[in-house]
Amino acid sequence: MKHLQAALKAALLAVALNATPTLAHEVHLSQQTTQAVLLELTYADGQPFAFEAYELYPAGAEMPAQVGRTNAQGQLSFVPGKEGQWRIKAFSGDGHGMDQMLQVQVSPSGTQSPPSQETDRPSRIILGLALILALFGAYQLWGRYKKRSATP
Amino acid sequence: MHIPDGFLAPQTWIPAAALAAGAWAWASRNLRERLDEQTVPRLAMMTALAYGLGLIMVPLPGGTSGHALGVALLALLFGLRPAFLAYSLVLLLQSLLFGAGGITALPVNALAMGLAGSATALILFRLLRPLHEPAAVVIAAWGSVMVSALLVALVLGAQPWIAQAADGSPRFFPFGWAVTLPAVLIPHALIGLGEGALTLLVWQYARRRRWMTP
Repeated sequence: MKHLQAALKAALLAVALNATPTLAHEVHLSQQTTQAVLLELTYADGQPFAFEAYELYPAGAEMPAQVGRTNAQGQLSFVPGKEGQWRIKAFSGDGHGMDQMLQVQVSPSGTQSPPSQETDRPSRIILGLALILALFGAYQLWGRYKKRSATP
Repeated sequence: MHIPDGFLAPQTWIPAAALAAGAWAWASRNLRERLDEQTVPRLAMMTALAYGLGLIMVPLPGGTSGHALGVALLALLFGLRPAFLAYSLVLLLQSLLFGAGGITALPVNALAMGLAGSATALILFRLLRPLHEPAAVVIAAWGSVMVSALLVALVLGAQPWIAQAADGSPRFFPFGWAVTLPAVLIPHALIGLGEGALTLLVWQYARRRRWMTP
């Protein structure tokens, strides 16, 4: 009986001594309200770039600081900690996506930038059309000039 | 289908740039003999149409978007070399003005869509024209989209194998062929049908006005 009690005490002691490393296998959750940056990725027609893979890198870093998938609204959020440049890479399996730098600002009141290229899209369309017509027009004029100068 | 910057390894886009430079030089040779004074304004108009088509996004099943290319109508109306050059201009403008496709990826996009797409459209059209001309136009346009999409999917899916970090993770585009082939080809099989119908409409309009130069 004494041997059994001694063995039981030894077992309890071992459990007590190993209690801290055992607890390290648990995952703890804490919650806090803080300043985060919300990014929203959309296709050109405004459809969300939803459930697609992304990687976030601090400027110059080789390893991403955050990886994951956008949510159903094409959004992702991260806590930059301080102002600076970040690089975002986002991919879909069909080759859509982006790889670009962004300047992150931390302000208590929060800031919002307009979606890139959305505000002046019509003027870009018109500029592209004008460039096409101007290039072909110049080619036509050059052809006429060459033809005229070749004629004796 | 336009590959953005940062998705392709230099081992891909540098050789592609060399290949595309050669193809652009080849396409530019004797261009004035192929484009007379009446053809240039028509080519300008169709290039503008292709540029506009590439910017109209159509929602597709699965939460993605797609757009027509317009490369088949350029090829069928003006031939391979002018179509390749004109479509390369379209891709350059879409890249510079909208970020639709990258500058480093431009050679790959131009070779896949501008050159391979045009060549496929012309080959299919010439093979099938004796059987049924309108059907030949539709199949040529559909085929041009599918071959372009196949090449883009193959190039993208090869990136994890071409360039890896020290830990073996992909340095550029992360998905292999098992993802890229179905993800690119299935939506473009639908886009190709729309492209076929649109190409047929434009082709019939141009045929009535005797625009064809090839």
